[in-house]
Amino acid sequence: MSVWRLIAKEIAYRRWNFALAVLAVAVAVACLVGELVLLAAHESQAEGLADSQEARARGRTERLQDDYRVITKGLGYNVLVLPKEQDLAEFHLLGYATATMPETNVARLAAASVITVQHLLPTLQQKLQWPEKKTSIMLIGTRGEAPLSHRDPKKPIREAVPAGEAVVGHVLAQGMGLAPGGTLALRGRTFRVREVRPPVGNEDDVTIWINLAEAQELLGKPGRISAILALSCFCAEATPEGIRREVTRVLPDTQVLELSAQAATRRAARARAAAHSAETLADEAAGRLAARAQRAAFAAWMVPLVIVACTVWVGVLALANVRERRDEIGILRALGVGARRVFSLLVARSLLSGLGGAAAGCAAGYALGATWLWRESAGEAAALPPFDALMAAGVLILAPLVSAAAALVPAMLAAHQDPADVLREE
Amino acid sequence: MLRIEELTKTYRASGRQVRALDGVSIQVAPGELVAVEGPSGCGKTTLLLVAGALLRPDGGQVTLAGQDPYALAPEARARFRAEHIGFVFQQFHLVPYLSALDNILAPALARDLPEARGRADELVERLGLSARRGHVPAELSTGERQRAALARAILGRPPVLLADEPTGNLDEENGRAVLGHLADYAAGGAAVLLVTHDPRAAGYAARVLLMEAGRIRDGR
Repeated sequence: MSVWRLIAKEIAYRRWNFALAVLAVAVAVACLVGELVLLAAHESQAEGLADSQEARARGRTERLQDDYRVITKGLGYNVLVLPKEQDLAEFHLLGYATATMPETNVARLAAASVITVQHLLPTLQQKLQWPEKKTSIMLIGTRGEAPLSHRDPKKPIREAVPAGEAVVGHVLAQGMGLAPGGTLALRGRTFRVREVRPPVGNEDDVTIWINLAEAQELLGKPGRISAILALSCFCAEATPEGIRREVTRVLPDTQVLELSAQAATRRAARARAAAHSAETLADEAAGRLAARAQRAAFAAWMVPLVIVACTVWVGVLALANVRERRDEIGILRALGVGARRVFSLLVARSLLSGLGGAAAGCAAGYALGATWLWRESAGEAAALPPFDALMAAGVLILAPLVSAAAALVPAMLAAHQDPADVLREE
Repeated sequence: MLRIEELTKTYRASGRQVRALDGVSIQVAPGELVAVEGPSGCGKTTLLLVAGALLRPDGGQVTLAGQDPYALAPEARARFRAEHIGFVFQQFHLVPYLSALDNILAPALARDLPEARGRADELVERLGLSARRGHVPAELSTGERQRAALARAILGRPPVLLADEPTGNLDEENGRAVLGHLADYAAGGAAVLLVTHDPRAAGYAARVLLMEAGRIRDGR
């Protein structure tokens, strides 16, 4: 006759008491495991969600930055390469360079692998009288963009004006009654109106753009240009000093004027786009953290509450078991079974109920958590977290210990019960 | 040898004092069956509990196998009980979920009894429980229950056997059978103290003591 045989027989005899104790532990463990499974699953889902949201946000940022690039392109170029002898005071007063430099400078700059500038646009510009119309205009000869030898060709920012054609500013076109397809005479030459620009509210409204070669001829400055307009790149090296250093290294007979306000606008626009994305991501992350914290806070009081309630339940059941077994324990004590053995017998029974409850609760908790997630994720198996063996082992060790602890007081009372009291009651 | 000297024991309940034992002295020698007779409430059960190292007396001394069990610590006293004393009770006090055989083997929980199973089989046979060995107490007759309780009491061959009204719930035939087994056990060299008001006990006892109001009044 062993203690384990006695325990097994007693459990079989009082199976409902034992089953209720197992159920109490199972409920507590199921709550704990279920909550842990849900938290782990949400954590993993949140990580996956964060990755996909970050990828989406990155895509949005790139699109936004591209949009800003296109939008800010209209702001003009932010670097102006002028002849070295150009008086800048005069340039600012007139709004254009009166000095000229060889057109070959464009080709030299384009071939020099200067990385801080792109979209080179040579122009010859001059304010002049339009004798046929008796008014002043700004004449700009342009040949479009010079291809950079070290870069992939891009769509030019500004199209070249074909020979024999002219692009006319809005105010001029309005005043002279010019329309696309019509013709205009300028200093004895006739040009077909290719396009009338929409109003922009600056000197462009009184500007006529023609082919560079024709402008050189018309102004008597063959092979000369007054400026090279360029857009600085968005790389880290594209500081005003960097651009100036690179350009003047290639073209020592020039000076570089930075149109900083426009560049700053572009930089600010792009920075704003990036900041917007970062804020969106941060908001998402904060939302997820708040949701998780809310769930963890709920679990932090709910799970312990359930565990305490179930521990009390186990204790009450153990007490009921001890009271029911008063006579039996009394006779065992009379037969010489020591208090320690009686104590360990009752605690071992509680350990077994804890072990059974832990195993059942672990399986039930995982199943409940998995079912919940299955329903939440509309049947996607990927949403189910992997079985956490470490957690299961921890629960299988801790739950029986807690269960045994709940039975300590009843077991102690039983162990120190006076057998004479029971036997005298005969 | 069981020696009881000048035992006194008083219960206090509801502000009243009841003197259950009032200077009781008894000696039971090995191989002797001594019966203590008396009316209900005269202190017989208290005498047995005190003699069985279960209830500390207020005064006097119990000596069992040359040792005062009350001089021992509780755990040591429990071990001492397991090794030296067997109990038979009027209400049998069998464990309800154990079979007759497992009940007989219950003392093996208290002490190491290497030959317990063989001894239990022998007792089952001798006490006529062979056909009922696998039955739980609820499935046994009262006579069978008392025989199972007796077998449990003598499984470890204790030198002292204490029996409290062992025939109180039994019919004539079963009563005689149990008394016969007690006498047989005493004849085997044990000291048997039997408290009863069954007049048949006199026919099996070496001595019969009359107890009244916590005192031994007379002896035959």
